[in-house]
Amino acid sequence: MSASDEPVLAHAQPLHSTGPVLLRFTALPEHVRTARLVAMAVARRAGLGDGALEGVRLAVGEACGRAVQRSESAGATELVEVEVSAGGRSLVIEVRDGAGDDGIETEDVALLLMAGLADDVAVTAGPGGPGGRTRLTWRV
Amino acid sequence: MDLSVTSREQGGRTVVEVGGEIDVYTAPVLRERLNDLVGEGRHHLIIDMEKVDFLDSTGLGVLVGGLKRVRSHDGSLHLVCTQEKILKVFRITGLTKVFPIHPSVEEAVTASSGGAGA
Repeated sequence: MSASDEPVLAHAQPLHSTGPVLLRFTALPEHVRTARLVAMAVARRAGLGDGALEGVRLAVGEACGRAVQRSESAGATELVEVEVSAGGRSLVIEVRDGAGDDGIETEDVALLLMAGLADDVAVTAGPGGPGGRTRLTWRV
Repeated sequence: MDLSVTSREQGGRTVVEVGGEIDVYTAPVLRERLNDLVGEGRHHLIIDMEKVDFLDSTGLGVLVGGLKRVRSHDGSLHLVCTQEKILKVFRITGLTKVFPIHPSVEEAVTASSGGAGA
C-alpha cells in the first residue's frame, strides 16, 4: 500500500472547485439556520461526502451562533459574514463578526464541537477585535 | 415549523416529545417549556429526541439546565435517542456521561422508574 503518512481519505475524489460564496446577515439567531443551509449547499456542490456534510451543518451553525452571541453581547451592529470556498482537497468556511473580545457562556462547548467536526479550526482576530474570525477546514 | 414540543404522561413520567431543529434561535422555546413543566411539579422528565433533526450547543445547554433544575427537586431527566448524528453531539462534548440515553421511551420509563427491566 501507499505511504502510511497519507491522510486516511487520500483516495477520495478531489472536490469540485466552487465559490467563494459570501453570505452577510444581521447578527440575529433566526438567520443562523440560513447560514447553515447555504454552507451545506456549497459543500454538497463541491462533492463533500454525506457524513462530512452533517459536520459542516453543525460546525457552521456553531461558528455563526457564536458570532451572533458575540455581536449581541458586545452591541456590535456589523453584519456577520460567512465565506465558503472549495477546491482540490479542501473546503474552507470562514465566519467573521464585528465584535471585540467578549467571552460568552457556550463558547467552550461550541469550540469543542467545531474541533470535533472539522479537520482544522482556527480562531483569530476579526474585523472588530480578538476572536472574531473562525476558520473551519475540511480535507478529503 | 422549526421546533415542536409536546408532552404527555406515561408510566408516571412526563414524556416530552421534541421535533425539528434545536438551535440558537429555537432553544429558548424548549427552555421555557421545560421550566414550565418543572414549575408545574413535573420533576421526572423523559425527553424523546427521535424527531429532532438538529441539535447545537445552545440546545445542549438547555438540556443541561433542565437536568440541573429537576435534580434540585430530586427529579430525573432521561433522553431517548437513536440517531447517530444527534448522539455524536453528546459524544463529542462528553455529555453521554451526564445524560442517561435510551433507545426507546419504554426503556427510558423503566429506567427512570428504577426498574431493572430491559
